[in-house]
Amino acid sequence: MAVTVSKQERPPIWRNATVLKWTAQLVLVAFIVVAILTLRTQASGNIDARGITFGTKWLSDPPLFAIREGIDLQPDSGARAIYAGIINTLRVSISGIIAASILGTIVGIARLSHNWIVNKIATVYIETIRNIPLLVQIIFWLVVVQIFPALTGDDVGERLFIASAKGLSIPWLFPHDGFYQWLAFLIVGAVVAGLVHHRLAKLKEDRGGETHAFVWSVVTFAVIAAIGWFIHPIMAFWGPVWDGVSSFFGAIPSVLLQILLAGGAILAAVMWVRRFLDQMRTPAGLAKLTDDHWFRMIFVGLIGLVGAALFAFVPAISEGILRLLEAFFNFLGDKFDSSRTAAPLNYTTPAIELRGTGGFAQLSDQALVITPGFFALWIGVTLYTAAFIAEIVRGGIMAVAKGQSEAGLALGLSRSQLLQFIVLPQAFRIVLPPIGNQYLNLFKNTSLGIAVAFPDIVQVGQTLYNQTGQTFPVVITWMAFFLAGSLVLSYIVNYFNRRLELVER
Amino acid sequence: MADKSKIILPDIEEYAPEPPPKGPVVWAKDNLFYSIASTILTVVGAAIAIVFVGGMVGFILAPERKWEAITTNLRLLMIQAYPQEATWRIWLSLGAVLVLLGLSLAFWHAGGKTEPRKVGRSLAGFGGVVALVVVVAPFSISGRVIGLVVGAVMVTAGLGVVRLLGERAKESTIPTLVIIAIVAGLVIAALWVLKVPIPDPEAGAGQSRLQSIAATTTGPWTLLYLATIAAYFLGTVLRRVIPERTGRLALMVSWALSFPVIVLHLSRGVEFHGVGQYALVGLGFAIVGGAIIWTLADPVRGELGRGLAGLLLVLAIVSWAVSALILVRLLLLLLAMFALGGPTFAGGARETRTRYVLLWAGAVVITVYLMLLSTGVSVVATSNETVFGGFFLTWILAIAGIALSFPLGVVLALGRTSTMPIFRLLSTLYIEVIRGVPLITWLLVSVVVFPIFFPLDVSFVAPVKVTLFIAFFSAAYLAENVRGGLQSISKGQTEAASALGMTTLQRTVFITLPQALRAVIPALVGQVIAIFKDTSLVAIVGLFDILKIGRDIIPTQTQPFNFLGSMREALLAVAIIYWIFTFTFSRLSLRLEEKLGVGTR
Repeated sequence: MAVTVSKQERPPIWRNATVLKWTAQLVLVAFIVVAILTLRTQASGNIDARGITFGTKWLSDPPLFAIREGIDLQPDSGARAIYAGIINTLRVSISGIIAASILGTIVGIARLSHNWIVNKIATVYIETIRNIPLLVQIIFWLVVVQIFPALTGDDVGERLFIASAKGLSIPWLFPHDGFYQWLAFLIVGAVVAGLVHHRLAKLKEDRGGETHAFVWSVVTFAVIAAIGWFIHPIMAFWGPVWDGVSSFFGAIPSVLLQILLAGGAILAAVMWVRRFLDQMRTPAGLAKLTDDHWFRMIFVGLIGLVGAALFAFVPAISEGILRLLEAFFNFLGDKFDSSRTAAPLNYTTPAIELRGTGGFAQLSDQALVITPGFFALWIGVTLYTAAFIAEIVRGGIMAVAKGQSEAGLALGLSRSQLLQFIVLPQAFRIVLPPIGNQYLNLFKNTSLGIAVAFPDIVQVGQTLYNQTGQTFPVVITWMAFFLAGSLVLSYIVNYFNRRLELVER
Repeated sequence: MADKSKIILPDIEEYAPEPPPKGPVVWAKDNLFYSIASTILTVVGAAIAIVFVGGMVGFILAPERKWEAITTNLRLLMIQAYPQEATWRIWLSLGAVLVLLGLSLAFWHAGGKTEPRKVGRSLAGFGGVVALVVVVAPFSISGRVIGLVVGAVMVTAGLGVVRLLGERAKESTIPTLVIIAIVAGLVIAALWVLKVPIPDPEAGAGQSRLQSIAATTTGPWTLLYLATIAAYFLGTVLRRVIPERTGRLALMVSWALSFPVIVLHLSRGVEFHGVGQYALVGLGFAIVGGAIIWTLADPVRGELGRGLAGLLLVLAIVSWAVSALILVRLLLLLLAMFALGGPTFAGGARETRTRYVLLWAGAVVITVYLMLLSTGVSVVATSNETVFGGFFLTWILAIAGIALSFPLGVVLALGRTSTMPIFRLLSTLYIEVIRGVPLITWLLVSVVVFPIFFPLDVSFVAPVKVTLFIAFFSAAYLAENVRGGLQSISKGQTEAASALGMTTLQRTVFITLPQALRAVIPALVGQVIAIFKDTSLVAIVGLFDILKIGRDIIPTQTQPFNFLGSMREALLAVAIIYWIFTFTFSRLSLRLEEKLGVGTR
């Protein structure tokens, strides 16, 4: 039967789906642009009325306050204060993530225990912690620290461990003079240990028999670390090298980097479009490109152009990158200086000393001092996140197919072997993405430190804008920091996730 | 994927013979001492539990605890500075919610039945916990004896019921609602019966008299309790009289309206101004707008109708730039929306179009009423910026935040899954930026940056600003949940809808969204719980919610009583209050999940 296909009529312009879609989208964009412009006018009027001008001066001006704890207690500029706040945030985040992962895994496994009492303790822990707002818990922990004894002049002296209303103090190993040179040894040790592990594992695969690859690699690392502890000054030859690199970056004119970066931006955009078009290619030729595809290519092109323009016409970016690199290598050069011959790590014990004009008893900062604010925030976010991680771990273990455990048991594995070799590795793959989400939550929740006067980036920022009135720039700084932090964290989690993913066939 | 084992194989456990009942010794051997490691764990675990429970109860019972700081400040914790002579408004609001709840429970046939043996075992377990606690914790001898007797009675009663009923204990016969009613009744009876010493300012310092914990609330609570039960029985009668569908629809509308009415009307006690003007505007819009919608909704008009509706939308947007009554602006916007949606939702048939125009009239009435409410002046005078504080404020923030975030979240989810690149880009940008930054930052933004964007004479009260930003924040998370639901819907559904000739809007509203939302109900309940907990952050930006009162006000009171140093007690009380509600929510959400069978189909 012959089928006649009449040429399809083009719909009139007001019925053309593509036209309608783009009209709607452009109307929305126009609406948003108008709204932003209106708000901007209003805002600038209000700001003028208040006699404030937003700018970057607050970053270089010395702030008129001291930071309670951290790397810099008397910052000489706003930027330095923000930096100290960032370091404090990271300290709580990283130590919290590590502690919460360990505790969460233990509780999650305990939740599945056959032992009735262990199981119940885990359940009560999870149900209590999860259902009380984190902020209430953090404040509660701060109050708990206050029941520790106050310090008086009679307590002056060294102890192994101090718990007081002014905080806890524990013995600690601090990086010392030769630390960076020793660190170089550690890196060498890690590389050699990796090679040993690789070689022995291959040997085991080729010839069979146990080669104890893991044990030997650890031993290698330990031996190199131990040798390095005593002979670390020989690494001092790196000092002049880093100094050279530093002056190299100092000598490069920023124009060169401007051109390079701008070119790179355009090149990256072009590469992206080429790859995109390659993906669209089918054996029958280039697939039909929809308006969405065109939009993506144009959008990437635009971003490339804008980026290139930014790099090319704002020399401050290239200048900043170069100065940063110069300062970094200069710092390394200083740390690898041949005069640094003392031990890499310094063992310190807690002490109480009299300080200040009135001679009040204080915790000496020679050992690690955990302030009440840090303690409350850290234990709060750790316990809270661990409860959520425990539930994820439990779910992950239960999601491992029952046949896997049965097969393992049938092979004669013990319960702990079963857990170690069969269940946990598979569960780990399942739980990684949701646990990554919990890490992100923990990272963001450290901002609650503001309630217990812990000087994290939010608290420092708030103090800064209370003083200078620079609310808008401070908020932008917060957002940039948290967005960047979230991005980095999710990148790390995604990286491990991809590595662990089953290879699908 | 269907669970095949359930369909093909008979449930083996159902036919397996009941294992012989085990004695406590066998049970302990199986569950506590089955290996050396397990025995060690048991001993260590028991030690931890004893130390912890003993310490906790010991802390609570210690004579130097100032629990009277909580009992005398319960009103402050719940409603803060709300004037005493107006508390009946709060009770009335609560009563309205509970009556609605009673009616809804009846109309949705909620509850179900449970097995007597489960109830008996729970009772026995509870008794066991009571007995253990009094033994472990530092109670007085008489306290221990009383506790042990109570525990023993509960254990005997629980196990006795199970033993007595025998096989019948396994049949689901006890309605859950009855159990809940009995427990709630016991709590209210305890309010009447239990007396604790409460400081008496008139008798002088250090003097106290015996009183129930919340003496002024016993009457209202009893009334509310009875009203809820009455409402339930009324509901069971009503559902036979009126069609169930109609009843449920009416209840859903009442639920949706209950919140603004309670917040704006009941609890503020509004004095209306300019009623005549508003009524006239509303009437005009209802009639003229109705005619316009009736005309434009007919698909016969084709693009002309849509074009005119689009013009209306432009007019509505322009009205926000020129000076006009806010009511007129709102109604114009609403009218444009109704006109645009006309051909999609009303269609050509006379009845559907009539219904659509009636819906419009109803929307106009509600809008006018809400506008009157929100512009009216509150008769409840407080020293504060607003009348809301304490736990009451927590609830208002949570409910308003969720309610406002819901439409925004759904729109964002649709935007992120849309095929239109700019919508997708903007939605993704919004969601990721909002989610990447902690809530406390957004709350600080709401207090210090947000007002910069408005004329100096426009000032928002703090709860409004904070609610808005909680809603913005929650919307981003909600959008991600809804997106999960949207992506779980099989492509066949949308293709089938397209094959039937549905437009994109019809497909979304009638086919995709309902299925997506149903699939993510558990996630949405989780979101509600999270927001409920997150409202505690408003204490940091200076709102007087329950946490701020517990932390900053009660421990600083010196007149007429000295409550200095009672912060631990206050925080513990706040934590317990939060815990009770969040725990209940999470249990309800589990049951809802089972009932919906999400994930098992």
